[in-house]
Amino acid sequence: MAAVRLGFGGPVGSGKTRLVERLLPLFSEESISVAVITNDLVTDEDAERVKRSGLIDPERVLGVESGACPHTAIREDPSVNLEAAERLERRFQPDVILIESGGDNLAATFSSELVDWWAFVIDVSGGDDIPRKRGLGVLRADLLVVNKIDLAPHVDADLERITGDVSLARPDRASLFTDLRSGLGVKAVFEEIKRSALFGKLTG
Amino acid sequence: MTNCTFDTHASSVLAMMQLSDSALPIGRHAHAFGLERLFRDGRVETPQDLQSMIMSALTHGVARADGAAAALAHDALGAGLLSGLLEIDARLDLLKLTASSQAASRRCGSRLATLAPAFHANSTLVKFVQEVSDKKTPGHVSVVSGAVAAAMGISREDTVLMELRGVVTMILSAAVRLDVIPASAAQEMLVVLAPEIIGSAGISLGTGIGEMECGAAAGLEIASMRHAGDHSRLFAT
Repeated sequence: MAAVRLGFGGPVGSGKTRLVERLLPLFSEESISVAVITNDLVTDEDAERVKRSGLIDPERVLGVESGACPHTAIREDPSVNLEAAERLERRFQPDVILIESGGDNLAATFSSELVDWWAFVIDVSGGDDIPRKRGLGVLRADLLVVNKIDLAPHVDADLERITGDVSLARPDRASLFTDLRSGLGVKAVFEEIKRSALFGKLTG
Repeated sequence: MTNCTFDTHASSVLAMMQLSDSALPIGRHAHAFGLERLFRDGRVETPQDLQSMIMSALTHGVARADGAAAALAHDALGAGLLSGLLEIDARLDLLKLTASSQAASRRCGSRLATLAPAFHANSTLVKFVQEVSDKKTPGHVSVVSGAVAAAMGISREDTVLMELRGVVTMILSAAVRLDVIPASAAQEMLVVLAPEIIGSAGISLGTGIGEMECGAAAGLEIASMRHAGDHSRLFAT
C-alpha cells in the first residue's frame, strides 16, 4: 500500500524541521510507521538534523537537493521527491511519509501529484502581515500553522490581528497556533493530521 | 505546403517543443553537470569560462555518448527493435564514468518513461518503458528520449539536436541560478552556441554503437566526482 504523503512548506526558519521533529514521537506512540524526506536549499543540514535526533531510524530519512528551486521540486516538477518517496516506500513500506520543503516564498504550494495533504508553516517574527497578504501557501494549505507565538510581544507582532486575518483568509480551512520550541500546540497539529489526512485509519 | 504536410510537420514540431520544454517534469532542474563544483573551485567564474565548459561538455562529453544514444535509440524504435533499445541503454550505462552522472541520467529517464505511454502508444516504446519501470534496464534519459521522439514523429536529426540543446540549457539554467550569468545573457549564449550544438549533433548522428565513447572531458568528470562528496550543495549533480 502506498504511504500517505504529508507536505510541510513555508518560509525559511519558520519551524518546518522543528514541526517534523515534534511530530515524530507522536506518530511513534500510535505505532504509525514514518519516513522523512527533506528538501534543503543549500545543504543536507535538515536531513542530518532529523537523522541525529534519535527520533527515527536514520535510514528512513532522505535529503533531496532541489537545484536551488524549492518550489519547483514540490510543485511544477516534483520528480526528485516522487523518486525519493518511491524509494522509501519500496524499502520500508511506511504508513506515512513526511515531506519537508526547502524554505520558500509565500506562494509556495505542493503538487497533489506529490502529497495527499499539506501544511504551511509561518511564524509571527516573519511579520504579522503575512496572513493579510494572502499568499497561496496561506490560502491553499490544508492546515496553516502559525508558529513562534511566544515571540509575538518581542517582535511587536499583534497576535489578535494575526488571528483575525487568518480567520478571514481561511474561513473554511484549519489553522493552528504553536510554540514548537516548547511543544505548545503540536498535539493539536497531530490530531488535525489524524482527522483530515489519515481519517483515523492508521491510528489505534 | 499542403494541409497534410503541414499537419505532419506541425505535429512533430509540437512534440519536439513539448519534449524540450523546461516544464517537462523529469527532474532536470536538480542537475548542473558538474558546474556547481567548478564554480566553487573558481574554475568557472566568467561567461567565457562557462561557454568553454559547455563547449567541452558537448564536444568531448555527450556527442559520442548521450547524443549518439539518442540517435541510435531513434533508429531502434523506428525498426521496432526492443533488443536494440536495451543494447544501447546498457552500452550507455557502461560509459557513465561517475556514479552520480549515471544515477542522474537514470532518474530523469525513468521519469520520462513514466510519462511516455501518455505521449504515444507505440508497442515497442510501451515494452521498453515497461522494462525501465521493472528495473530490467537502466532507462537513461537520452535513450528514452530518442525512443519517445521517434514514436512521436520527430526526425532523427531533430531528436539529436533536442538532446544536445537540452544539455546546454540545463547547464545554462544552473548557471543562472548559481549567478554565473544573468538570464538574458544565457539566452544570448544559447544563440552563440548554436554552431557547437550543430557540430556536436553531426558527431552524434555519425556515431555507431561500437564507436560510442565515455566523456573525454576529464575536468568535468572530476568535478562531478568531487561534487558528489560535497556536504553543502544546491544540485544533485
